[in-house]
Amino acid sequence: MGNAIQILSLLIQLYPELQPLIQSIITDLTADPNATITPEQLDALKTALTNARQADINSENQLQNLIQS
Amino acid sequence: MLMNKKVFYYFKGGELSMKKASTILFSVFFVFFLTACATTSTQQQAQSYRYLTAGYNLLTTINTVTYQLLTNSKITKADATEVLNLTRAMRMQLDVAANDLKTGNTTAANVIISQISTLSTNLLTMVNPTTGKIDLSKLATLQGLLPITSTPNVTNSTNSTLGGK
Repeated sequence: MGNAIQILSLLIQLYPELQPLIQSIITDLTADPNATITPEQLDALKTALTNARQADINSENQLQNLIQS
Repeated sequence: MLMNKKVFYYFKGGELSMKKASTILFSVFFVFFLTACATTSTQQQAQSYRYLTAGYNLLTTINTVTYQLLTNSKITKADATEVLNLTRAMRMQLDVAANDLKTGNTTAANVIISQISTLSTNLLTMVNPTTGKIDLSKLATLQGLLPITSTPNVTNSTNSTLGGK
């Protein structure tokens, strides 16, 4: 994952508009795995997962539309 | 014995038999064990959710970068289609992992998440920040490494939700 973080840091320089998204990836990849999790925090992670999947599908559709245009 | 009596004062009804004491100690230990197990399991689940979310976000990043490259005519539509087919196939794998996680099969989910994280990282390394282009010669290699064998559907994806509450 260290490799991914290095590349992501480079991408932020190239595409500043991607900073929030990339920052969220880095936060998820570097989170402390031993930190205590409350049920509320687990629910928040589930919601974040659903939102991330939807954003991914949206980006697929946008790219698909551009390809077909 | 003095110490034992001190301990027994906490219980109504005088002295406590060894059997009762063992039962209480065992119950306390069992509750502690269950709490420890639940905590570990929740932490593992949380970590899987974080990695899965990072996986989807990595794919979103790749799609967005590809969109930019195509908009700026740095890659062709055929190249972009190759990338899209790959990211879509990876997303389908993450969907499988999300379902595994939802049904409590954390181990199976983690195997897929690990594979896709590696593949999407490799795909990301093909975006050259200097030239702003994707090294398309390596795409075929990645396609071969994907655990999915079916050709992904190239029509627009549905808006179903997975991995939620």
